[in-house]
Amino acid sequence: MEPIDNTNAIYLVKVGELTLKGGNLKDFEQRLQQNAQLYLEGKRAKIQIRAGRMYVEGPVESAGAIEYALSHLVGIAGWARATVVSKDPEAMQQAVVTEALKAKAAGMKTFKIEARRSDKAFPLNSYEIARLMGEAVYDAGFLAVDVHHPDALITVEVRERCFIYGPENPGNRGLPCGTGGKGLLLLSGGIDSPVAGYRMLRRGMKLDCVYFHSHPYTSPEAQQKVEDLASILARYGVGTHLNIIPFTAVQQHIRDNSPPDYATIMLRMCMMKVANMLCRMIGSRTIITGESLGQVASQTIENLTATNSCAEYPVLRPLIGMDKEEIITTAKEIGTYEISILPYEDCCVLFSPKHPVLRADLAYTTELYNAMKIDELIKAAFDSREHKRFGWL
Amino acid sequence: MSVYLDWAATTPPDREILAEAMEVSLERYGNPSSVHEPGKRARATLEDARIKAAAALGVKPETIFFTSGGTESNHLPMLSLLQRPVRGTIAISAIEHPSIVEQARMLELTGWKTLVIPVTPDGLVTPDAVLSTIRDDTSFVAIMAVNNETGAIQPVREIGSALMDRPSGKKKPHFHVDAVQAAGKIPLDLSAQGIDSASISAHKLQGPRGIGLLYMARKLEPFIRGGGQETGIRPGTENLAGAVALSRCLEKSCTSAHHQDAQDTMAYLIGALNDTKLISIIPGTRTPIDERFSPYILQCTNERIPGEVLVRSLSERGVYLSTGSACSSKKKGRPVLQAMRVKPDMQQNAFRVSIGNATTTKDIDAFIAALIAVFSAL
Repeated sequence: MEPIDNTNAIYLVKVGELTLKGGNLKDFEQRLQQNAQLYLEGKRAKIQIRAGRMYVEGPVESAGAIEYALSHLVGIAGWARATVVSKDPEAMQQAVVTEALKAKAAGMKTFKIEARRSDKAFPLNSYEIARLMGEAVYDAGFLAVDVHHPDALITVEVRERCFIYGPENPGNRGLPCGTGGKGLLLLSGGIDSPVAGYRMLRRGMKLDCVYFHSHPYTSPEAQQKVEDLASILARYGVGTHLNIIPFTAVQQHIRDNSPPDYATIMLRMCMMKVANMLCRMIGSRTIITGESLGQVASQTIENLTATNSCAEYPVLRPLIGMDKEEIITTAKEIGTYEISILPYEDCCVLFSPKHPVLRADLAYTTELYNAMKIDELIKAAFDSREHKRFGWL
Repeated sequence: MSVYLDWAATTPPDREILAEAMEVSLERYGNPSSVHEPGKRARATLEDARIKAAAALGVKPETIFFTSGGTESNHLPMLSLLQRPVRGTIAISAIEHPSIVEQARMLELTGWKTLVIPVTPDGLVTPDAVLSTIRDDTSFVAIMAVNNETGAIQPVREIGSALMDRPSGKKKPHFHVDAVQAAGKIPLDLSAQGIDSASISAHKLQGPRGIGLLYMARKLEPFIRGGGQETGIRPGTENLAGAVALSRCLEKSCTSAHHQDAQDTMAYLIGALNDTKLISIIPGTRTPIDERFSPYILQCTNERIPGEVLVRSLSERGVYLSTGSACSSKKKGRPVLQAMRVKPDMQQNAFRVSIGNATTTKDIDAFIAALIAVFSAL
């Protein structure tokens, strides 16, 4: 029997959607493992993927780092810290009762045992394991059985060793970051764009971000907000880059050279032009925005069409069909909401028309845009960009 | 070159006073409550500071209680309402400082109701407005002596007498005056009939932070309890160095002749702002020499640029001022200007210039030049 090493913290990780992959499964698994390794560099953790499971094992003092990594890693469905025991029914029962005690301490009242056996040489089958372990918890007497809606699901997996773990922590699901190409996120200090970025991260996309500031109309605090948001996205996205574009001159030019009700659309068009330049430079294949249909005037289908006309890359809008409540729920889950609602505006009211046009005509907006002769200013803004890198830790 | 025009937020400290306070800290370290010699010496110094502060304010020493500053001095009388067996109403003006407004909200959670006394478009509270707002169950009235955003001098003396002169049988509510922007800046008679308590802070008078006083002619049952210091009104080991510094600040500012200088500087400032044609004064009726306003505080606005943007741009040019109260500049909206029925655009574009005794006409010239530069750049 393999000796059991209790000085190590062992985590069982369910990989998510990956399992649906066919021929290129290996590539996805490899990327997931690489990402996990990045998070755990220097933590002496071993990461293995076997039979649809990822195992992370490291010294107990690395447990905090491992849990941080697993709660930010994209591409896993769930994870739990496991107790490893020898394949001895009595030792297994003891470990299961310990898990039940932990659940009781967390306020749970009912339990269910789920048993899996991949080691077919083990003398008991899954059903028998579940029954035996269930009896031990039942006899201990502090949790009641509920096989339909248990508070605590205690899992027993008999593999090359026996893993026992309590309620699972949800993972970020999706596909490992870096398997879906690179995208450029238009990031503002609002609630939506960080969520849009997160949703694309979850599709395996690697993100770079771009932020437009109009200092002194907008405050340094507004930019700090965006930097804080980028640093949160970086945790899920294995790091990110933030490109900061000074847009004051562009905004002033728009104010002075276009009808006030078109100012917002003109601004969005100019932002797309900068996004094109950045995409070319960093090798991004798409532009990502936090637009949601009809949420504000610049997000009607007509106005989105006008904005789109300036993009030379596909524009992905992962929030297009979501309502604000749904977006806020995700923002709270990923920890961007509290930052986004800080009171620092990243667009000065000075440049926001009171009555923006709702259904812009594409031909007319293009005409207005061309008449502004703003391309040189946009190029200058691009050239004076600032760049910041955010790590995943 | 830098120009500091945010004296209403806080003042550059007086080096001499701070040095004296430091000396007191080092020399008079005894606890004023101790019975030994160092304790007694500290007690004597504290009482001396009390006598001097009282003399500068023209009130009796036993009405002076040292506190940690303006906010605490505003809170102590309000907190004592929690000791009342029956809840009633409190009345505060629509332009009070957040330390009064927010504490009133807290009292509401305990069953008190807040009545808001309206102001005129010039930002003034009239005695009539007070009388028509309060009710028979009003236990507490708070009106500030000088508004921290507009500089409007409130007729607290008249309000005090109006409260005294109510028909017999009506219980006079406790009348508290937030005098933080008034003490040492304008003539202030706290001993006037009807004023029961007032708050003062040292750092608005070039003193250190963390020290203020509560004037209290009519003692209230304290809510905060402890070692019985300051006759139980403000328990906690006394801030002796602070008390000495505050009394020195009051001595210097209440008696000095610089009020006339401030009036001249303010007149010059208003004249210069009017000349730019970019800025309008809030309220519009304020004249360069206007008895109704403190010569230290001026609220302005403009048609074009948000106050916050102006403040930021001026800061880059070395001119430092605020939009409104430093205590509320991070929040949205301008309650004081709203109460004065200032148009929303003009509220948003408003900013405050506040001067002190070190402000010169040269500073004003530099400010005006920076302001014009900002307007042409934005």
